[in-house]
Amino acid sequence: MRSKSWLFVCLLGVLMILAAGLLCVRNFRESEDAAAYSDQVLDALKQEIPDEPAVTEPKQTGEDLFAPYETEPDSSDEAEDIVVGEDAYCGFISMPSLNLELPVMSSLSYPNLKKSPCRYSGSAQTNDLIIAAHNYTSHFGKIRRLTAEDPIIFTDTRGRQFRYAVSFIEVIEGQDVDQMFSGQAEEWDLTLFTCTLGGKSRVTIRADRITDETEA
Amino acid sequence: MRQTIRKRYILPLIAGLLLLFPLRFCPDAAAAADKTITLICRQDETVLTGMEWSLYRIGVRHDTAIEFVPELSGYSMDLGDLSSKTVDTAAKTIESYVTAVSLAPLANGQTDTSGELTFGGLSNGLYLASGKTLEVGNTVYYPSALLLEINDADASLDYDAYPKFYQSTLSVEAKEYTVKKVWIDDDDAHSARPADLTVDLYQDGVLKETVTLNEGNDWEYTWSALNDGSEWTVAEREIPEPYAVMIDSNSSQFLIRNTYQETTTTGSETETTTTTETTTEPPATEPPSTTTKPSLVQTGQLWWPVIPLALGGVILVGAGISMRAGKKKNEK
Repeated sequence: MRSKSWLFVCLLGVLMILAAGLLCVRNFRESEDAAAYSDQVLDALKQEIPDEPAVTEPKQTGEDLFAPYETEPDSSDEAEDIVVGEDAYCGFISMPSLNLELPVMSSLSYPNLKKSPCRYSGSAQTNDLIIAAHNYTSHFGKIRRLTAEDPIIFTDTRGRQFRYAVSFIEVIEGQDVDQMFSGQAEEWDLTLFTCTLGGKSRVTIRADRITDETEA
Repeated sequence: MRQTIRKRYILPLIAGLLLLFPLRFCPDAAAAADKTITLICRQDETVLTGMEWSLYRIGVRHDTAIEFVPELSGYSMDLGDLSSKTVDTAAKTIESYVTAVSLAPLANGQTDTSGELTFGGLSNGLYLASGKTLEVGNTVYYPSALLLEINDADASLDYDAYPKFYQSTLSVEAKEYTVKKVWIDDDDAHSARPADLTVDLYQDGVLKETVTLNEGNDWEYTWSALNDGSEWTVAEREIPEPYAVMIDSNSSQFLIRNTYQETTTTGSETETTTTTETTTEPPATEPPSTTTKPSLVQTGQLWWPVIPLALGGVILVGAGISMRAGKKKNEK
């Protein structure tokens, strides 16, 4: 038995290498499946979403200062979800610097996250939208490469485009929900986040809305 | 003898120290009025030549508190934390009251052919730079007010500032402007609100109209004026206690936000805290239930075991091979 101990050790080593390889294959496949699904949904979604409405410009230059203080928000202003397959989507997000375009599901759940990025909280209308996605390379795995001023565009189901520029990137501990929401609609207007490779923290992209006033 | 020595040497020594004291320990007195602020007014490729600016010395900052000049000290202004996000609104608020009290500028000037204007001979303090609109062809450039601080921490004596601009096209059509008043207070503080408020509307710094806002008009007033490049500002004439005012604006909206200041007296100390935004009008998107979870949603794949598994495997295979080699050696 002792004479075969080297064989046992070698086999155990090979098994461990195989397990690592299988895990990689599984992750890559999951990422590819998510990419394929997202592309499919994005095509369907774009067909449903009209071009950017011609009359979306507010009367004044820049953001509507009164909107956050309206007692009865105009519900007709909220875009309705579009259902593709069995899932509801609130729009899609584009990151030109990463050559990335992805649909965004209206509600978050773990099964949904395997298909596409999900709305975690808020909305583009109220400048507090938070979108979460898996760190698949095809989803938010590359968002850490974004740099300040990189453009991000969220298009809602009415075709309205909300344009943002990356303001800063931070890494938030997985338990720190308060930090994720801190500065909501004041220090940032859009947040994207995904897990770090270790999974303990979240790479968090904060972006500011670009209005006509800021563009001028 | 000792007393004589004290009188002869100690008294002149104290007098000498008192003479030195203002020079050594009063930075304001020591700070020379030799600093400059340069405004650089360029918009993309357009050089804004001939834009008129006025520079006002509005006070000094002590840590987080601002000591305003007497003309402005009667107005309770909510300037936020003066961070990069709030400083523009703070500047707009102060500019409104600089206009309302007709504060005399420290200096006036026009940008030169390179779009620059330098104000020199400045000492430590807080300054407000307020510009007038400039017409270039058919386009009007509206400058945003700038709040600037000069203090001993500034390494350089020269300070470059880049004002922001928004632009509009001149037209013969009338344009609508709206001023809206909002209250930032708790429900139980409603009683502190006055029944109505007086707001002055200024066109290019001149009082054009005085309006009253109240529940009846939903604390809102709209007026029309020619879109002729005039600059409008508004100011709440009397800020009701215990509120502080913040005025924000864009090209056609003026938002006057009164925030309730809770005052609690403890012994001889008085603390003022600002209420959070729990107004009548909350931005009402509640986070979904996911936010009440103890941690953020898990969005990562299982990558971490890959390296330990692969490394462990390689080590074990290596160990196995070396065990076999050792065994063969022993057999020989």
